Amino acid sequence: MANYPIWVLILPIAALGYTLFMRTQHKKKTQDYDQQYANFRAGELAQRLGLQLLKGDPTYNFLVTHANQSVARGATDSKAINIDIEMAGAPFGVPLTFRYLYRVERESGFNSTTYKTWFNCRMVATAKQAFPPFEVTSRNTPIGRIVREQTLPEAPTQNPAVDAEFQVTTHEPALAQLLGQLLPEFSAFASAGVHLLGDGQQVSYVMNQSTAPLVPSALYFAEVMTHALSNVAQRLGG
Amino acid sequence: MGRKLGTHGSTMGGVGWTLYVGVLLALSGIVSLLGLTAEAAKMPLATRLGTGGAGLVIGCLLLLPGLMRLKQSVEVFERGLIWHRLFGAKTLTAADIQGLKLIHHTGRNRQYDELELQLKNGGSYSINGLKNPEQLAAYIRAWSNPLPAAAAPGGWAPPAAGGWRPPGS
Repeated sequence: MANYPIWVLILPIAALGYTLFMRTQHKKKTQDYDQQYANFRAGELAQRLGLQLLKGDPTYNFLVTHANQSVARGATDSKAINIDIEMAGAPFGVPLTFRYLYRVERESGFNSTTYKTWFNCRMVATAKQAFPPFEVTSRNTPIGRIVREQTLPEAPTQNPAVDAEFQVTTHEPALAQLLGQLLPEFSAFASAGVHLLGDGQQVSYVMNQSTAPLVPSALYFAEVMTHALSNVAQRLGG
Repeated sequence: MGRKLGTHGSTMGGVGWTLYVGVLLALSGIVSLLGLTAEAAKMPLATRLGTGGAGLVIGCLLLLPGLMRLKQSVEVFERGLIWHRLFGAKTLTAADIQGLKLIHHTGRNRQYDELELQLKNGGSYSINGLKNPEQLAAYIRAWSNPLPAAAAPGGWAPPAAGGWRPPGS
């Protein structure tokens, strides 16, 4: 034992100390960011948007998801990550709902680990009367193409600026033309991307976890989103 | 099957190592068989046939997954898809498919996406290593969740002139 150089003892202790220090720093920074973007915690976001939090943890931060203990720890075989948040209201006279579901289950096998992930995040405005289905996606986003959910044909909006920025798909030319008037309000989301889905009764702004539009980038303009979505639903379905 | 929506090519994700090992083995097999190096030339033909032939055969077998990926593509339509493979094409319509799973495989030496299609007849197909698999999965999900036809109070129907009109117009 006495023959070993001193660094054999010191280096592992230093490495352990460095690891602990970095972990503490990381945790402190996450707490700082959580505080800095506190207005994106579910409770405060709901209040800011004129919605009521119906379900979920009011402290869950949509911009700093790792501030949540369950997300930071990750899914284990015995405990899944399960974030289920719902808020609703009618800040502009149109029923508006925000749904956020993030669930991860983990199963460890002999030579592989399986993660099952469910993710659904959308702001939904409900119209009074039915309208023809449609889908709108940004043609370009900073992180690649948006995954379309429907197989509708592309329709020109008669607004060249809108047609250059968005791909509008619907069977109804009159609806495409109306969207040509309404979509300029969504130009604020150029850095996030826009994905609108009109299913015949509801208009949804779809957000994703790893593809555009990302939840934090889109929710950064949450106020614009609620107003623009309410406006679209009102104009399409009364 | 309706309008064509796009074509998804393939990546070499998950089979890159087979290409690497396959090329090395096939080349070493050829070198050994033909006696292209001084060492190999000194060996008797019977020995070279055994080791060189085995290297060539195993190398070619290892190149097969890469070749299959190279020849694989999926044409997707409004209500079906055509899966082009090395050994022929397979057509699947929306009515054939019951469900799907998009599985992301991650390992130390491979990373690829698998699209598992469950058929109504109880069978299933796994399509590995497609480009942009999320979009293909979204289109296939849309087949089973078609958007409802819009209906105004009393039953919406396109008016004779101009189709649907926004309320108040």
